Amino acid sequence: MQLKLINTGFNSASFNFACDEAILDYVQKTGQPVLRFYGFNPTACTIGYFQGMNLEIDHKKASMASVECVRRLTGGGAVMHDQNQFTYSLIIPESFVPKNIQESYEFICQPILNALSKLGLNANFAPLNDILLNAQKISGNAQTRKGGVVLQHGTLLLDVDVDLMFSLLLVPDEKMRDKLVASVKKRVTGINNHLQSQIKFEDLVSLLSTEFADHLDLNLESFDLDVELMLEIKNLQKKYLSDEWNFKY
Amino acid sequence: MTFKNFKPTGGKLLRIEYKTNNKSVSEFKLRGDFFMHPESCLESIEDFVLNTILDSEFTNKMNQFLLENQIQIFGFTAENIYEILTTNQCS
Repeated sequence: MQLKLINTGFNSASFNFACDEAILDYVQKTGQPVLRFYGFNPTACTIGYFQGMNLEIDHKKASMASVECVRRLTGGGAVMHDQNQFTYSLIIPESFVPKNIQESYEFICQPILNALSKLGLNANFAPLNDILLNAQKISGNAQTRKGGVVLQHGTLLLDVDVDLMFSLLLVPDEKMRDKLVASVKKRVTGINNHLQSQIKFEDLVSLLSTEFADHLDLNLESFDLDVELMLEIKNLQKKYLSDEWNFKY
Repeated sequence: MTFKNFKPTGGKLLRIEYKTNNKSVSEFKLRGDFFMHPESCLESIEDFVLNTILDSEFTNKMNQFLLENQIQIFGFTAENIYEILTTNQCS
């Protein structure tokens, strides 16, 4: 069986999540697993499905800075996405991964660990949904399951600018902001901090696609967004740009 | 309305808005960076809390409700919800 591979490059958050959802529909209809790699441009802030936008993001400040703020289909926390991140989505029928959700996170993260290992980075999986390198977070992942299909997406940090991140993210207690920012700086890292030279986006696509295909025992096959999928993405993008969706909670 | 941030040990940050009157809950909004499968069950959990007496059986009843509805939660427990609604704890 084939693992359909697509690199959609850098796009807005609303496009990226609309694309994930359109491919989720596609996998539900066809049963064909899809692996997508992508990035965010322009910079965006996203919140987890169960978060309140007004509690997590200074969206007025974000709006003034033309930073798109979007609620994801998946749970987890608020994230600022810039061009120093590499993102993947694996969208696959449930039968390919462990039924147990906790085990499936680890199963889907394994090829990322394998790829990092090939780069000489000895990272480890940290339940429920993180990958750590020297006890610092290097990747966060989130999963949803709909209609017999698992969608897991995650971000691999290449470089981290915590100050920029917290310029738009709200914190539970403003009095503790400095302490929290200092704490996050200690707990988060990017892979470029640990490599001799900066890794290119395309090199990560090549490395990770091979690792995912090997891990799933599938053959890679190139995949493109056809007119039908593009129309669905355009339609779904309206949802991810709407206050009704983004300010639902 | 009372608003609390609560992070269970090893869990996710819960941000809860609620109003209680003796042993009943008249307002309850559950937000946070937790995971729930299926996601569409958030409202049914909020309704469950609104319609359940806050007594010693609350936790058992909520666990039963989650089991019956095949809801899986990562990041907090029924015990955490009971604790938030019945104590002044905020962590």
